[in-house]
Amino acid sequence: MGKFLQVSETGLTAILLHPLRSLVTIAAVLAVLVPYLVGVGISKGIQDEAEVSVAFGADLYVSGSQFGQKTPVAVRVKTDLEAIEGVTEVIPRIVGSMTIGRNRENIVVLGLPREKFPDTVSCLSGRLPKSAALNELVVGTELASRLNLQVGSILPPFYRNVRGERLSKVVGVFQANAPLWQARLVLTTLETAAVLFDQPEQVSDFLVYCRPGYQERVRSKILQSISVNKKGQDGLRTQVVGREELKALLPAGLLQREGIFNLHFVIAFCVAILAILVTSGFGLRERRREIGILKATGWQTDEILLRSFAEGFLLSLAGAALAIILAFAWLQWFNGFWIASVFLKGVDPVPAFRVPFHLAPAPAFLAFLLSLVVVLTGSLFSSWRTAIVAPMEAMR
Amino acid sequence: MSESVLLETRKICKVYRTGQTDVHALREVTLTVAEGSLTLLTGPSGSGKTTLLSLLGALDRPSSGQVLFRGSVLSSFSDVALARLRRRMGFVFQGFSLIAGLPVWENITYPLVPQGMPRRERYALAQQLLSQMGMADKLDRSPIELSGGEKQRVAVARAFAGQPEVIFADEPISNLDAANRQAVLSLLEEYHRSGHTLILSTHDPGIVSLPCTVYELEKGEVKAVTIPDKKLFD
Repeated sequence: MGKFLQVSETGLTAILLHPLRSLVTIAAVLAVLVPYLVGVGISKGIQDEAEVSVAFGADLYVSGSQFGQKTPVAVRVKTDLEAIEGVTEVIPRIVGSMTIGRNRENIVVLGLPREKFPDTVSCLSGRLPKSAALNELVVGTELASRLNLQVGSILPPFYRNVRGERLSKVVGVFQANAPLWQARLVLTTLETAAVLFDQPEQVSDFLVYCRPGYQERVRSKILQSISVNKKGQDGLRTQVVGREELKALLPAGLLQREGIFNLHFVIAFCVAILAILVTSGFGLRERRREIGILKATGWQTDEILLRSFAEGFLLSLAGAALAIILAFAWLQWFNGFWIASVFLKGVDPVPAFRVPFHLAPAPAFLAFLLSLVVVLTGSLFSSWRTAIVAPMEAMR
Repeated sequence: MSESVLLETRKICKVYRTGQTDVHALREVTLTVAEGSLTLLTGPSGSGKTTLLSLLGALDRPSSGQVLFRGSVLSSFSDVALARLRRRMGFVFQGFSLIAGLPVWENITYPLVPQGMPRRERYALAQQLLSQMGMADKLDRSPIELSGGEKQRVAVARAFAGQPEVIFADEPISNLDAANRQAVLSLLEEYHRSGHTLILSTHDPGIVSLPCTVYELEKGEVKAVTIPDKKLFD
């Protein structure tokens, strides 16, 4: 044990012996790990936020389904739903996407009955839409800043229908507890949303709240007795999604982006290993000579490798610790600059809202393991190659 | 009285390949080194002294032929066995071969790290060895702050640190001034007088005052052998 510790301790000495090499190695580790940790941190933050939204959302989401695709349902279904035993509240909702502005910005329009606007939404300036007034919108801070919208701004006719072209007016700029809403969301009344999408008397879905313990019974009843077909039309099926199902579906979308990010990361990871292999060339002659001296004075190959391992381990530990600190700083003080735009569609490289993040212990531990792999791949191999040759050859 | 043989070479050759050219550093060199003896390898630059010394000290492998340590052929030794054998040997290299970033005391005792000697004990040992060399005040210095003579004494101290059975010193006094030459030689002679084997390579066969066996090398071959009181020609 004493020998093991003594040899391992020389790993620290080796780091100090080659400061340039050590710094370049740590820099390569940081170049890979910091964006990775920031990305994973944002991904987890979004996931947490979405989970909270679902947890505090409705018990059931009712819509129509045709060819396996979600379809709108008639607003009259609300009365049928309210009549089911165990249902406490039914909120009709319109959620749809459209593009506006010269750059065809993708936005999400959320239409709710005025009295059902979420409590978590508050206006930084202006007010929320009035129920009677058509074409009044409130926009999130991020979207407002991106499209240069203020209270009173008139949006150009971004929809045309049989009733002609309509202008819409921004009556408020909101911020929400769920900061992501501020990136792309336009909040308006149900009536305005129906006009915007030219779908009178239709809603995207109903949020159904149940008495505790009634969720499954209500679901069965809806599927059995509620028809979402319009008059003179059949073929639409009723679709009911429960809170738990929604929760299970949530990560898939997020992980897809995370997957793309991970793919990029794998490429960066390979590049970093190559970079470290190159950096291990820094002072390689001096390092070869040093290993030659150690061999000549009685060090065994495994002892030299242990020394290199300890050196790599400490460098990885330092690299990973620094990466976690920098990733935290990137998220906390630089608000996920640039990386947030990779994860969140429609978000600028400099987000105008607080980007959610969660630096969990598992990715941090993974970061350490990855940095260990990066560093050891770069350094252990070159040490081993030098350690197996005759000492004089290494020293030459 | 028959002397036991510590080291032996049998027709060893060493060929270095530089580009397309083969350089024959040693050609069929056969010699023996008795236990407790003093052996000098002499000859001009490029005669193969350093190569022969490194082969005897298990620091390199011959291209052909055999090197034996106490009758065992070194080529049959595993990497671990060779490393353990080197712990029983001490080397003083021509260019000192000190590690620039380590303080003097650590350079001296680095070979003892794999043996698990605690740091404090290593420091104390280095202190003791450097006191013998008259350099007790240089313990924590970096080798780059030392003169050539001081570096050589540190290299000798490192060779002594593991209490070796044999010391190999490659041109130990070249590039040293008279005072330092005498200091280094005295240390090595004292080591030999205590019954240890000492093998020196040098340009100048007259550097030691003690009886010794001299192998005179030229172009990789042994040209002459002088044993105490006798000169043998190949």
